[in-house]
Amino acid sequence: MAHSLVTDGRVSVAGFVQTFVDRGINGSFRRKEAGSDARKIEILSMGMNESEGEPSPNWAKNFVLLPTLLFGNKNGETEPIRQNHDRQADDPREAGTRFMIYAMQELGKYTSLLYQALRSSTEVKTYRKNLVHELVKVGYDSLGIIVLVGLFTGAVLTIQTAYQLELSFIPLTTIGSIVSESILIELAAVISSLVLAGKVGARIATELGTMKVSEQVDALESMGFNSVTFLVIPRVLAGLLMFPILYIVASVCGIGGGLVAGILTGVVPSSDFITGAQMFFTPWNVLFGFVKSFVFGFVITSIACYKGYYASGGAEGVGTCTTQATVLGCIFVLLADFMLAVLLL
Amino acid sequence: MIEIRNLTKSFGELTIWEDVSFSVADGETLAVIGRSGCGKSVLLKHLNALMTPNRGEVLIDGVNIHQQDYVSLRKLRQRFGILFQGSALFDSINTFENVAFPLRYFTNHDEEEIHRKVMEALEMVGLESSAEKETAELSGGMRKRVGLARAMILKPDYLMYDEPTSGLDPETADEINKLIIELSDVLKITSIVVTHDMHSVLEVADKVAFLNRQRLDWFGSIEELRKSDHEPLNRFVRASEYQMHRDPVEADSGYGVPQSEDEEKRGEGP
Repeated sequence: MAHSLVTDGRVSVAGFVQTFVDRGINGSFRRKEAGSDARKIEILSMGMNESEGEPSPNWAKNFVLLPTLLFGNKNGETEPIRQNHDRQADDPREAGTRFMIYAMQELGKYTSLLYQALRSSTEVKTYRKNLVHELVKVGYDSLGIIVLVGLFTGAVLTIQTAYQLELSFIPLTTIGSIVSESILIELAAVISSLVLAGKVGARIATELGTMKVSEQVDALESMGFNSVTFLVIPRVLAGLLMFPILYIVASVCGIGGGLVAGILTGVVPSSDFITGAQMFFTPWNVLFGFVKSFVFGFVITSIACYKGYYASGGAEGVGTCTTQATVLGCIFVLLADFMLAVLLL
Repeated sequence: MIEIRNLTKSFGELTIWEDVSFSVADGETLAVIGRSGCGKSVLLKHLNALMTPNRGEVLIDGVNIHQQDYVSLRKLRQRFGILFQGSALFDSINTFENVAFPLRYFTNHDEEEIHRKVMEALEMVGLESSAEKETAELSGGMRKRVGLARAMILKPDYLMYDEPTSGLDPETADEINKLIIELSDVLKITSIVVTHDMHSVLEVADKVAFLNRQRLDWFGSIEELRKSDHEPLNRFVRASEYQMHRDPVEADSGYGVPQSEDEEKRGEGP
């Protein structure tokens, strides 16, 4: 036994880690070390049942396969979690490799779709009419929900900040500063984008997915249209143009909501709130939020277009692509948020 | 003229068909028949490069459609009209706009001219009164007819029909068949009809391609089909006749179905 886990009746942490590395990373969880306490500890620590005889690292595989289970395999199908013996790849490394290959394939397809869109973006005549339609759908039709989200975010933020500062000697103007800065830098862009990932992203994915599975995309192509120009460009452009405008609306409503909530609940007088809001205001914060919403608009609409454009498999396929568009939209908004914070601040 | 040479298609390890070769002359009507899932629609989608083959070529008047750049491909595709299995009407616009759609983008006609042409096409398919209807309000047969009006609005050289009569009542199916014949005769359009409805085949087709056992199992004219002793083909035709309540296709079809009342009575004796 190369690395004993039990030395003088005590568990050696180093030994355990070494065993984990040997067996886990080398993919040989099944190596038996009969009669040793090490095996018992190994089984307990892996959360497996000894009575099965052959310990199998289900958790490890399921963890590695989690993205596939959530976002679908290379055919865009989400598989139900299967038992160990059902799955061909028993080896977690193999599953990991497969996922990496799948992710790279997806990225390649996504990039090539965007490249096609970019290349044909000069054919304005083809998508002009659709662009106007999409600007209304993405922008104007989302105003209601964005106003609502803005107002409530600002109101809740004001009340909760006031609550947290209640017993301190921090001046009330701070509430105005915290609320307005948080909204301008982060919340107006991120929360409204997460809401729009559900509203706009799901709509785009469903629309394109249905068109795809009912052969409407083929019909466009067979008539001699470039379906990417016709369907993808106006939607992505509408996202790029409208999300920043919706960000401004959400910001105004958010700060307004905070102000009104402060007055109505009496936690902060309007003069204090406004003074505080103006105190640390810099145009850079607005520009930062603007850039964020611009990027989020692109991320959400392009992912939704990609998922919808490559949908397959009837009603279920459309359902899957919509779910994926929404979930991936949210995840990539958060990732992009993080990246932008690292890069720009 | 459409020429297909050694076309092979597979999805992963599943071979759809191999080495399919045939040609369709101008003005001819070809019926592609075969059991469900034998790849008839897939073959159709190769003709205007909606799908790419693994091997082989499709020549449109000598030009290999699969080796064109996207701009020339789109030009070539405009020579095709296609009636999809589910009609593929754009559900965000109404019937009139669906038919007018190619005209608006590919011609410089003014509104009056577009209106005239669309109404002419809708009249031809007998739907001039449904012009303002939303596509969701149309029945299956009406949707097919609107799809047909849209497919032929630009007067294409080739019209492809994917299961034009499936899911329709016999009378509507007959109307569609008549339309196919009319378009082929009047406008001299080359037609390719994918179907498993033998009644439709015998009515509209000049040539027949039978896809079976992952290849082009039989190819010939309607006359040759009647005389053929190709067993899988005959089985397919017989099964279709059985579906048509054993109603003989032609008096002299010779597929062993009782030909007339007299023939049946003859066996009964005095």
